[in-house]
Amino acid sequence: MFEWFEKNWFSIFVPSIVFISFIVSALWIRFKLSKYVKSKLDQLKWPGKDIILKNLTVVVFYWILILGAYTAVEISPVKDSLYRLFISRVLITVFFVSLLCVIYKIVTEILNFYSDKVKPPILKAFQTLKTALIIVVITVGILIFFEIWKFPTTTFILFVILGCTTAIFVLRENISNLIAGFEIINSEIIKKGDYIKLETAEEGTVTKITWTHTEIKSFENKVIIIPNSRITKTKLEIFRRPPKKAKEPFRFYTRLNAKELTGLKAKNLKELLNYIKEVPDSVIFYHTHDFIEEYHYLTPQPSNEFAFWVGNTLGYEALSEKLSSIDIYEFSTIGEIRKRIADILEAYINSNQADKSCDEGQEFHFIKSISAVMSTSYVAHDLREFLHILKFISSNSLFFHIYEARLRLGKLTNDFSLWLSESLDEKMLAEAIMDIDPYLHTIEGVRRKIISTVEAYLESEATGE
Amino acid sequence: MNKSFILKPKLKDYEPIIGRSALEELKALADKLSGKRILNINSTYIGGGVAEILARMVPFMNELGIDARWSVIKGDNEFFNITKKFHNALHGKKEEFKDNEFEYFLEVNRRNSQELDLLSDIIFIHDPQPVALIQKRGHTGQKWLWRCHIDISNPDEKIWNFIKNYVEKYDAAVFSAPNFAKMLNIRMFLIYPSIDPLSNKNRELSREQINAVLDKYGIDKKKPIILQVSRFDYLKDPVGVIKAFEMVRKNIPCQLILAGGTATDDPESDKVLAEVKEVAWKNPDIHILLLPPDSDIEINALQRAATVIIQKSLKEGFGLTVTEALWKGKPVVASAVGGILLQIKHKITGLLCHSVEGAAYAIKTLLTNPEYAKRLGENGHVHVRQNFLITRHLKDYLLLFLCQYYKEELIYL
Repeated sequence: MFEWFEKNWFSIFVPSIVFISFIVSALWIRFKLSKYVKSKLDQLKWPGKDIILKNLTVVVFYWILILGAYTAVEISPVKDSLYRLFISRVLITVFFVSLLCVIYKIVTEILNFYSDKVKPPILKAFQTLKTALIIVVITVGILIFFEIWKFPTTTFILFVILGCTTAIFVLRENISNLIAGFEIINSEIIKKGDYIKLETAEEGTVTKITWTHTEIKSFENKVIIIPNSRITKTKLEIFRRPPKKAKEPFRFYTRLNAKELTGLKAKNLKELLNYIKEVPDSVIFYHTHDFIEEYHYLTPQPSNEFAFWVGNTLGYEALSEKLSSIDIYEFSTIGEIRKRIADILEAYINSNQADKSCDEGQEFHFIKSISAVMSTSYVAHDLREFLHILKFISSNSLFFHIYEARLRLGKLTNDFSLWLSESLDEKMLAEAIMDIDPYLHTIEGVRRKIISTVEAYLESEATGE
Repeated sequence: MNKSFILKPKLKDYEPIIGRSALEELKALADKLSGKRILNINSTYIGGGVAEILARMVPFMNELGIDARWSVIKGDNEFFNITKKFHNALHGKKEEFKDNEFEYFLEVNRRNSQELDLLSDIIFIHDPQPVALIQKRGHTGQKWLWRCHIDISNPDEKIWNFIKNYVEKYDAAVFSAPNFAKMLNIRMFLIYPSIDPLSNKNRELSREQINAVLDKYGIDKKKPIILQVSRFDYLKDPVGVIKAFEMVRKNIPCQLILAGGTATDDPESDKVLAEVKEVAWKNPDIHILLLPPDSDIEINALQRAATVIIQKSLKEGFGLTVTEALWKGKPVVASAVGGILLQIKHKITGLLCHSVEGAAYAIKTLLTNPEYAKRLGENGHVHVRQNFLITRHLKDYLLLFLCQYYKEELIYL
C-alpha cells in the first residue's frame, strides 16, 4: 500500500491541489460576481430577476464542484487511462445537461410569469414558444452529448436539417397564417364586429379571430373560415360599424370627501340610537359608506361602521351581525337606512336592556361627509368611449356615479344605467349594470364587473349572437 | 447616496405611487382655489412634525398654482417656555402658571400680528403658539382656520379654556383624530396626519443599505426580527414588549430590537431606558438601540429588515410609527389605543392586542404563518397608500379651504 502510494503520490497530489485551488478561487469569484450581479439586477427592478437568482444560487455551487473535479481529472498526470477519460466525459456531460436544464427552467419560468399578464391569443404563442424551446434544448443537448462522447454527429445534423425542412414545407401554410394572425391581432387590422369584403368575394361580419384563421358570418348565417394569410395578402374592404351616438354625452364627475366632526359621540347603545335619529343624512351616509371607501381595494366589508363599533367596542356580536347584514342596496333613500338601523337598535335595547358603556376614548364619533363634486375632462359620446374611460377613471368618480348618485342625489339608479337607458337607449345593458350590487364588491370589483358586462354586450352586439 | 433619493420631490414624483387620476384631482381642486391667497403660520421653520409637513405642503400648493405662503411667529425663550408648558398642559400634564405668563403670551402674539402681513384670504394657524393672532382678524371675507396637531382630549381645563376663547373666534378648527377633539361652537374638520413616501424615513432602500445598518448594530440577519420603534417612555411599554418577546422566544428563535431616542424634555426617559436595559440584561437576542434624532435612514432600514413590527403603546397619539411600518408592507401587532385604531383594522391590515399575552400570541401567529403575515402587510401598505400619504393630506387641506366658502354638504364646484 505504502509502496503504491509512494509511486503514485504525484498523480494524486497534483489533481487534489488543482481541485482545491479551483474550488477556492471559483467560490471567491462567485461571491464577488453574485454581489455585483445582484446589485445590477436590483437597480433594474425587473421582476424576472428573482427567478434568475433563485435558479442560480444553489446550482452554481454544484457546477463549481463538477468543473473543479473535471479540471483536476484533465490535469492529472495519469496517461491514457480509460477510467480518466470516462470520468472526465461523465463530469462534463453532467455539467452541460444541468446547464441546459437550468437555462430551460429560467426561460420557462420567465415565460410563465409573463403569460399571467397577457391576453389569451398571445398566451397561445407563449405555449408554442415553450414547445419550441423544449425541442431546441433537446437537440442542443443531443449534439453536445455526441460531441463529448465522440459519436459522429453528421448523420444527426443531417437528420435535424431534413426534419426542419420537412416541417417547414408541411407547415408553410400554417406558418404564414401564424405570421399573418400576429399582424392582424397586433395591429388590429380587423376587429370583431367589422363587416369585411374580400377580393375573392367572401363577405360577412367578423365573429372570431384566431392565430391561424378568421371566422366571418355571412348574410345567410353561414360561418366562413378564412386563413389569415389570405386576409393580409388580398385586397380587403372593411366596413366598421360606427358606434351609436348618445343623445347626450356622459360627462364623468368626481367627488372628493371632507370629514366634518359633529362633536357628537356615543358611549353606549342608547346614546348611539338617539344620535342616529337626529343627525343629518350626511352623517348616516358617511358611516354607512366610509368603510367601503377607505377599504374598497381590500375586501367588501361590513356595510356600516355602527355595526363595527357595536361588535368590536361594545361586544354585542349578535347585534353587530344584524346591523352589518342590512342590505343598503335595498334602500333608495338615506332616511330609510336610518330608520332600519334605528329599528334594529331599538328592538335590541328593548328586549335586552343593554346598557354597557365603552371605555373612555373608544366612543363612537359622529362624522359628517362633505362631498365636493367636480367635473372631469372625460366625456363619453358612445359606448366604446364610455368603456375606454371606465377603465382608468378614478375610484372617486366611480364612487360618485354609483353610490352617491343613488342615495345622496335621490336618483333611482346609478348614473351609468340612467345614461345608458335614457341617452343611448341601451335598456338591457342599463338593467344588467343596475343588477350589480355595489355593496357586495370592492369599488375595483364593481369597475371590473361593469367593464366585463359592457364588453360582453359590445361583443354580442357585434357578432349578432 | 442612493440615486433614487429625491431631495425636494415634485408632485409628479408621486405619480407612480398614487396614480395619474389622483394627481389630476389635486390639480382640479387647486384650480378652484385660484386667486385665493393662503398664509400658513406656525412657530418654527425647522424641527418638529408641523414644520416638516409645511416644508413639503407649501411648495406642493405653489406647484399646483396656489398662492400659498408660510410665516413663523417670533418669540424669545420666555415665550417658548410658556408655550411648552401650554403644550404639556393641553396634553393633560399639570403645570403651574403665573398670571403674567398669560399676559406675556398674548403680548408676543399681539406684537407678531402687527409685524406679520395678514392680508391673505385664508389664514391657517398651526398649533397653540400663534392661536391669539386671531385678535387681528382683518376684512370680513377673510377665513381663519386653526389646525390642532396635538391630542387635546384630556387637557388641563384652565389652559384649555384660555385657548378656547381664541379658538372659537376662528371659522373652523382641524383635528387629527375624532377623539383628539373638544366640543367647540365652530365647524370642526377631521384631517388625518400623513407620511411622505419619498422621505428618508420611508423611501425604498437597497438590500446593501439595509444590511449595512444591521451590520452596524450587530443584528443577526438570519434570525427573525421583532421591532418596536419608539422613544423610551412608559407609555410605549417597552418592558411589556420584552415580556411578550420572552414568551415568543420560548417557542420560536427570534430577536428583539427596541429602537428609539430619549426625549430631551422628559426626565423620565433616562429612567425608562435604564429599566429596560436592566430587564434585557444578559439576553443577547435583545438589542436596545438608542438612536440620535437624525437616524431616519437607520429607522427605515430596521423597519424594512423586521419580520414583525410591534407598537405596544399604553396610550398613543396618532401613531405615525405604525403608519411607517404599514407602508413598508410589514405585518404589525399594535395596541388597540388612540389613532392606531384608525390604521389597523384587526385581521385586515394588522393584528390588535390588549395585553402582553395578546401581543405574544399575535407575534407567534405572524411568525409561524408567513403567508398570512404577508397578506396583512400587503393590505397595510395599500391602506396607507390610500389614506395616509402626504398627497391625501394635501387634498384634504385644499378641500378644507374650499369648504370655508360653502355651507352645504354637497358642494358643486
